Amino acid sequence: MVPSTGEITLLLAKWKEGDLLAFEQLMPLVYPHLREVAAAYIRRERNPDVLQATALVHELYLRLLQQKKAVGEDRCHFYTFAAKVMRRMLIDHARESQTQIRGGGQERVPLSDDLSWVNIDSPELLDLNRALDELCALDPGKVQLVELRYFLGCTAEETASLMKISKATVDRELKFIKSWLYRRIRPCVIEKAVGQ
Amino acid sequence: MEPTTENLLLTEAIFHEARAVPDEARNELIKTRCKGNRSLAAEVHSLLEACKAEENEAASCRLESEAGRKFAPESKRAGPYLLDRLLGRGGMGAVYLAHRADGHFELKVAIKLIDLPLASEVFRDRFRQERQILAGLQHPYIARLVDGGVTQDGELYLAMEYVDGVPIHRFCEEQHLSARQQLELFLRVCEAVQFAHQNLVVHRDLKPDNIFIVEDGTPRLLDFGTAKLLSPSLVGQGNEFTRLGLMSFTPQYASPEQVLGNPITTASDTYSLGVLLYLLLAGALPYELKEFTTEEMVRVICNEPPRKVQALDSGKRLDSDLEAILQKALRKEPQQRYLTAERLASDLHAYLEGKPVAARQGTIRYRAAKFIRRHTLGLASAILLATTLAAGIAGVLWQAKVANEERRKSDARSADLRQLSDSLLSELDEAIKQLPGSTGAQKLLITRVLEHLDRMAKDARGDRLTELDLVNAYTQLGNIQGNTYDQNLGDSAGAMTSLDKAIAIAQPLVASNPDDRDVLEALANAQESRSEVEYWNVTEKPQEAIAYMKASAATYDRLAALPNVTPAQLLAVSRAYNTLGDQLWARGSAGLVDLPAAIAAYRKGIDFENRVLRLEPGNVRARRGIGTLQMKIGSVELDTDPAQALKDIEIALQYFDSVPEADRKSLITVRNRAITERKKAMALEELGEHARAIRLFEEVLQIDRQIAAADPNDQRAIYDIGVTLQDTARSYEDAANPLLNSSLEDRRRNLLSAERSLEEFAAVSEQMLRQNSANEDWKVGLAQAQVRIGSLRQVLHLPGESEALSRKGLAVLKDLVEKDPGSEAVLDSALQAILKIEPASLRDPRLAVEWAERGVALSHRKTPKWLLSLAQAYHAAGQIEKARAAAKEGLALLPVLPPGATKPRIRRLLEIESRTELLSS
Repeated sequence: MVPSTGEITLLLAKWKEGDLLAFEQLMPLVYPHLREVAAAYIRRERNPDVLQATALVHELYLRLLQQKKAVGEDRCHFYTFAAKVMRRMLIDHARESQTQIRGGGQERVPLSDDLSWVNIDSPELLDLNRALDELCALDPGKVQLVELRYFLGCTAEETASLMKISKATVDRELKFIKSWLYRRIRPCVIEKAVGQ
Repeated sequence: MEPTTENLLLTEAIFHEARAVPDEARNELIKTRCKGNRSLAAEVHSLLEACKAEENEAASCRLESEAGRKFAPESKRAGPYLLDRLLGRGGMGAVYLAHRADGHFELKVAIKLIDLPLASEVFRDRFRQERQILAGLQHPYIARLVDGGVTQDGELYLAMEYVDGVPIHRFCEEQHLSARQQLELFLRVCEAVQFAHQNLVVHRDLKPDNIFIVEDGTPRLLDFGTAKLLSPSLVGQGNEFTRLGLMSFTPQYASPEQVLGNPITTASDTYSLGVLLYLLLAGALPYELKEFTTEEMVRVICNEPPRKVQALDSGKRLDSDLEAILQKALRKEPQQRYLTAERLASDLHAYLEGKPVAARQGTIRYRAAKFIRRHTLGLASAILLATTLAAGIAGVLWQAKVANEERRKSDARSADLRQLSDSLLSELDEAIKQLPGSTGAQKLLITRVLEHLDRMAKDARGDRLTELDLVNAYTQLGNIQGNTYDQNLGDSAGAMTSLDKAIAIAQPLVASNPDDRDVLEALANAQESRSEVEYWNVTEKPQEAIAYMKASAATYDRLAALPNVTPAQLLAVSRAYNTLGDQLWARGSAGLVDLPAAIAAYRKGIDFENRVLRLEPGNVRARRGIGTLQMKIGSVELDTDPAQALKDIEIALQYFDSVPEADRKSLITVRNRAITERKKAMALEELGEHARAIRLFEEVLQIDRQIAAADPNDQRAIYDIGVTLQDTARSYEDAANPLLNSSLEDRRRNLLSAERSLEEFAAVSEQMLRQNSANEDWKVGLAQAQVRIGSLRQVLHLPGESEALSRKGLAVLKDLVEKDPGSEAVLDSALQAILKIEPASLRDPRLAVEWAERGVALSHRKTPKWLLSLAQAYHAAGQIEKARAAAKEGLALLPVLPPGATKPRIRRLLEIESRTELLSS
């Protein structure tokens, strides 16, 4: 998924210098990937009006535009940033859909295949968001990992390469983080198990 | 347990250790590692439980979603095509392999889709442009456009020929091509790029990934998604396109002007081709981009010379000629590069054939070396040569003078130098032609060349060859400065000064060398250019222009009287007479009308073309030339003597048909022939043969449309369509005019046809005006058409805007007449419109008389057509006596009608006006 060579880096650098065109150029390079991510989130959503991959990415684009200065100097920075934006977007979306009356028979749309018990338009996502905020206070690196891997939809390999760590480390750390988040979001399940 | 970072990390460490050991050993490990810290142990335990529960739930969720996924087949369609698989993603969209779903043919295509709804319209416009560009680019080495349309989701798509191949650099590697084979392959790529350039298309993103080699070893150029059309209509939008140009390049292959956001020309593509050639021959890129920052990119691409191939680690060696070709292709300044792919290709051909390459002419050492080798010149002279070359073009010219002095010793060397100065000047000329607009740098260059020429002129006296060089150089320079027939700098005053200098040097030279063909040609040429500049100059001194043109023709006559004149020189003589005829015919506002003299000039032109044909019976240019001149003679005669015009036009058609088959099908012959056919239709109409005229107009329209369809960027073709449509409409109206046609049963049908032609004309002119809103021809034409459409709709009771349209057109026409009071064409269109406008309340006889009087004055009372208009205007104003007088004056200008001949249209109308009576209403 990661476009080749230093093209993105080059564009990011230009963008950092205030070159708006670089941003225009950047978007098509990362867009297809972001769109796939968004499409994965909503793949089986019945009601297409609720959340469209396109709309999702479009919004991401606009937010990126507004916050152009927040982007750092290299690819990792950019993807981290994109992931953060994606997270914000999904959370906002979840908040909005909470206020709507939801009919039955809705199909589940997992945030990620590797985090399949969190649905993208469920209250769980808001729980996850809160849990991540707590985790961030303790170890922001772990949240970055979650954002890249689950919100932006990078593979473990891509996440590893972006964060300059090994894939094994990514998998290991995510194992712990998922457990930590699960306990935080589904405390009753654990209490029951520990209590037995 | 306190939630701190240390605690979290400690918990995590024990968590991982515990998971690494078997279940039964876990409790023990946790106990040991937690060293009695019970809350830490409980934390680890609960997280291990959570891990298990998370895994369980995740597994069941996954099963569920996989089951659901089976019901969501993701087959996509685009029009009649089913998308099979994703081939890749580009900057703007995705490319899929697809096949036709309707089973009509088993056709594999590559479907390019926009799936980028973001920067929407800009990208969509580009997508549409790519489609337009590809539709006009049919070449075996360019991936073909098969189809295009809109998908069900409303996305644009293009269906392209599916190219099953590999990128060129990989192909060369895999096939272990020799350097020669690589060059031959590369030349085919150049051929495709050149084809695009000829069609005014710049690709702008040439790189190996866009050049695939297919099974039979031929290339396919892909991805015109960032290509640019150098259409004149886009010139005004330069900023926009330059801006977009910045967005789309690939840094490794981008030219300095692309990196800097400067205007892109065909030379930008040859630069990219240069990088590609470098990659193929050297196995590496010409630059090393260490970091991808703008400064680094600008620094390297715009400042650093390309690496010498032998300095690379690859161990490859390049022939110095090839190295020179690469260096020239990769020059930083676009003007210094090969301007088109064809030039690059021809140098590579020269290299392959062992001839000297143009690339090396630009380097001092090469030429110096060539000189020393060929002429064993003194070393001092060689150094002098080198310094003058370094001083630039003018320096070379000066050197030519030095060479002339030594001419007796070394004829060949002087010829070389003269050739060199010629080629440098014409290269400069070419470079300026390629650049849009005129910039300070170009003017500066001209100033410098002028300074050197002036210095040279001072001490050249008496030296024939140097003076001849000077005459030619000043003439060429003058044309660059301000001859409308060339792309020029718009400095007509400067041009006239340069041309006057050329003439001043040439005249005494001719006096002392009366039988020297080169000298005579140089003078005639200078006089011709001087006339052309004068003719198009705003100060409008047509008499002077015509005087210079006559002088030029006289000089050419002397040349043509000498023995051993070449066909090329005779063609130049004919061209001069052709121009003289045009000036005397004075279709613009600047001329002095002298129709008999114009016809005489054209006939002399034909004499010289015939002399060429006696020397070279197969000379196509001469045959076409006679056709064109005959057509012009016919056109001059059209108004006054349509019967004679018809005869001359028929001769013209015979000459067009006498060229060989291949030339008959060439665009220039087809176009000239169509124009001539249109003139024939006009002659028939003047002779009252409405039905034949209309049929012929419709035929010409077909041909015009075919020419336009073959090349959507051909502005001339669209212009021709417009003119033919106007003529067709007029012809239909004439057929419905009771004064001209006695059989009136088809009156309504003819007027309806006229209205339809005018509507089509209005559509064409609106389209043209969208591209260039300043074009007067289309503005006038559109306004006149609006008046006619509005009027006809009222007469015929047709739906649609009518009176308002008449008013709108009339207002524009009045405005245009006011802005350009000296233009006969504008005046004529406006006058025709107000004489016949409906509702009749809009007619303004007083204004009509005023305009008609002005038209008569502008044509020096010599044009029957204007006198007829004047008579009609007086008539409308109720000034019957004056109307009769004007009509009689017009009739007196017409040639005597042979007994039994058909009365042409203008004579009939003039006769009617000369006998007109005021009808009591």
